[in-house]
Amino acid sequence: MHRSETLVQWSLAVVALSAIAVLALIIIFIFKEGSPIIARLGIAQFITGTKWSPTRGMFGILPMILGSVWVTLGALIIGVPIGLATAIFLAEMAPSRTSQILKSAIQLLAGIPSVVFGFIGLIILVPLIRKWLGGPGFSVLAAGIVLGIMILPTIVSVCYDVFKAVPQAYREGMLALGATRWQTIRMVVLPAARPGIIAAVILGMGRAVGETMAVIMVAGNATKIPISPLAPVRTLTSNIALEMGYAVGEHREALFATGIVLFVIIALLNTLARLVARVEKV
Amino acid sequence: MFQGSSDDRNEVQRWYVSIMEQKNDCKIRIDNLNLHFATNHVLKGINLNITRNLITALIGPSGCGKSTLLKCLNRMNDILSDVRIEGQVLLENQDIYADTVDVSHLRKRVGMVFQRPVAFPISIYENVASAPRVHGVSHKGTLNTIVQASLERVGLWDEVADKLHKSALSLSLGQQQQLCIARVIASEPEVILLDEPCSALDPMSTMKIEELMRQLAKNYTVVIVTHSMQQAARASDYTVFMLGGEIIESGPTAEIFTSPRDTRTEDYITGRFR
Repeated sequence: MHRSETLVQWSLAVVALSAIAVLALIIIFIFKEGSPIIARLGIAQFITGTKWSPTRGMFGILPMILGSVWVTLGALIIGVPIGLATAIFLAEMAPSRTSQILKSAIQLLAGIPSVVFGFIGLIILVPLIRKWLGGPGFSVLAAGIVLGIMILPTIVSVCYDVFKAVPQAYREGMLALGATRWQTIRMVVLPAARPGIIAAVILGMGRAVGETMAVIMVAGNATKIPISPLAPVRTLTSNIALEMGYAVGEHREALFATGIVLFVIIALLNTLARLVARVEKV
Repeated sequence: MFQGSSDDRNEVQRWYVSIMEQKNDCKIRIDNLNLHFATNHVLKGINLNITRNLITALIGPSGCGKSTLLKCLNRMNDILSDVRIEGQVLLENQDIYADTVDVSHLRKRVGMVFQRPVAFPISIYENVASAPRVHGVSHKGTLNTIVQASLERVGLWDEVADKLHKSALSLSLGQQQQLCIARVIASEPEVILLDEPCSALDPMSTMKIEELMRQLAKNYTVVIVTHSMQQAARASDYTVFMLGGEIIESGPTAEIFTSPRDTRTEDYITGRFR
């Protein structure tokens, strides 16, 4: 009895550790491949350089960093208000049956492959923007809208859980003061849920920063710093995905270095989300 | 807390109650109230007069319907589904279950304090200010005045004056309950309902709340549900004993506790009842 117990414990530990080992290997690999070129060019040169021209040996990724920032901001501007409103409706207002059905519909949204989002954006959104707003259509705006829709499931489901975790006593206390349902939400539920909402936004942000395929299809991918929402843009992830197929030597190293920057950004966002979530518990 | 011998006090109390009854000063009148929750008949033919500016205590074993009865007085049962209510509850001679009644306004007039202190996870100031805000007060100066007056009224002002904008959750449970009472007062109610307000509190805080109730009864009509026999005996003027959804006996507290008419009341207050 005791022996089999130890056996189970050990094998579970090995499996768990191997998952972590894979993560460690990925990190080591990216850093090993990418750090030499950063060391050679200097971190400042690499991050603040505005020219990306591998054939001429110029590796500045500022346009891509800014590209990721703008596209992610666009996604948040579109995704957060819609996601928050949806979560409020589902958690606080909709009858529980409606809420169940709509919630699973939104979960389904998370299951649609990103290439499909990109495809729809390419076929519908890009021509619309070109026609009505001008520019090439492939733009920060197009990418922001597509990503905004893609981060909805994350925002909605995290916010929904956060609202559901707000003690019922708060709502009753507020209703007993004569508050309407909306006053209750605005004055007590939202403030109580604020740390959770912030965590949801940061998680959505992580998803937006990391998304590649859909962005490549609608963003235009020019390696210039975008000067307007209608200008084409290339993100960090797009940069890697677009060029990895044929890159060699220094060029290849520079793409791994792009990966390092991406990795650091996402690690920071995750840590931030966790810190905010911890503040909530105190 | 009380001066003079208990006989004096009973004498005074009886006098007070008789005066009130002579004036027929009935704040809330409950007329043949029946409440069904799904298939449960929870309240059965309740008739009760609640006198203005007295403390009325509802006592009885768990599940006797006393909390439900309390929640009928500000329609907090409305938020449950599957509840059916028949009969009348008259507040100042107006049926609070009439179709024309604005529930929000009713709950402003009839405030409620819960068993566990419900301090909202916002600042102390905002906790108190939320009550007038709900009813449309937004002028900063007015809010400041209301918040200070309400906190002073419950004796919490001196303790929190320098940390009004700190989270209310940093207060002790007893202070949180005082805060909740301040919040109710801030909406300028006529009746204050307290649902076992001390059951989560330590004896010192309990004593504070009871003193506070005594203060409040000067201006408000107070109805309290309590599990504690001593609390009902100490802190109320009028006691209603409930059992199985019915009122068994009601009368001036001194009478109920010294010479109950019904043997079930006697059994309960002497602790023989199960």
